[in-house]
Amino acid sequence: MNTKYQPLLITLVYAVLVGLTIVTYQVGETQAHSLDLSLLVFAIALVKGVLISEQFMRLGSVKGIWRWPVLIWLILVSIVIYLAFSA
Amino acid sequence: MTKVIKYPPGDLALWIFIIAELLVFGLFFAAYAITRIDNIELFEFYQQNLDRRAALWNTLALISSSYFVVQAVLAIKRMRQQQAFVFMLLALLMGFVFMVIKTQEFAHHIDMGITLSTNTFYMFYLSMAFFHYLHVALGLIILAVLAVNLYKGRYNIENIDGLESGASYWHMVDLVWIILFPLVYVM
Repeated sequence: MNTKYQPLLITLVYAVLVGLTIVTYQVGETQAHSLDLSLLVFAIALVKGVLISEQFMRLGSVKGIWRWPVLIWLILVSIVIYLAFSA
Repeated sequence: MTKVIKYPPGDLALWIFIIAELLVFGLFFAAYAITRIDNIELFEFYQQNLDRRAALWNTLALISSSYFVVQAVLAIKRMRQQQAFVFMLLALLMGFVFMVIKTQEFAHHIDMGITLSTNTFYMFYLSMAFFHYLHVALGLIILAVLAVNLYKGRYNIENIDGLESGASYWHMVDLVWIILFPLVYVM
């Protein structure tokens, strides 16, 4: 991405993050506790986490081992939460 | 094309610190989720007592703050010192909004007589939320230092490590809240 367009891309990512946050809140307001909804909410959080890691932290443009620690952390946390909530 | 780099933005030592912090928060999240297995009704009942609307505003405040920090870094790369300073002030403002809302939430819990020993849910909620709150407080001090340095024109395209290190720490604080919010307030 050309430096000129980076602020625009970041603004787009920000808009997506805000939208997904509002969706998460609305799901919470339904007060329906089902496994599917819980996993949907966490899947949304995972997408938001990847966007922050890749775009805000700029790890998406890092090549090599430093590209992965935050993404691996997100995946491990997701696996543990998935297993615990579906137990 | 996006320039491919070998190391993450900022100081590598700071990144080791960030990974260590993420591991600690990861253990908190895992412990919460595993403890919940045998206490589902308790967790779901007390979760409803939390102020989900306040958590929504807090999430939006932290995301906005992170966004302004990214824009401040990009402004420096485009040699727009004054714009970077304004973005950093906005990031600070959003961080303070988080602190004010969260402080009110804690004050409400204290008024209700809720403590770490009230029950297992509150033990986890208060521990995780307060641990994160301390990180936000430290992050705000870092952002304030960055703002002063930006005001004095200390960062430029050749000297940006300090700014990127502080920015990376702040994004970590945001990232942790992105997981904490749905896990504790919604799921």
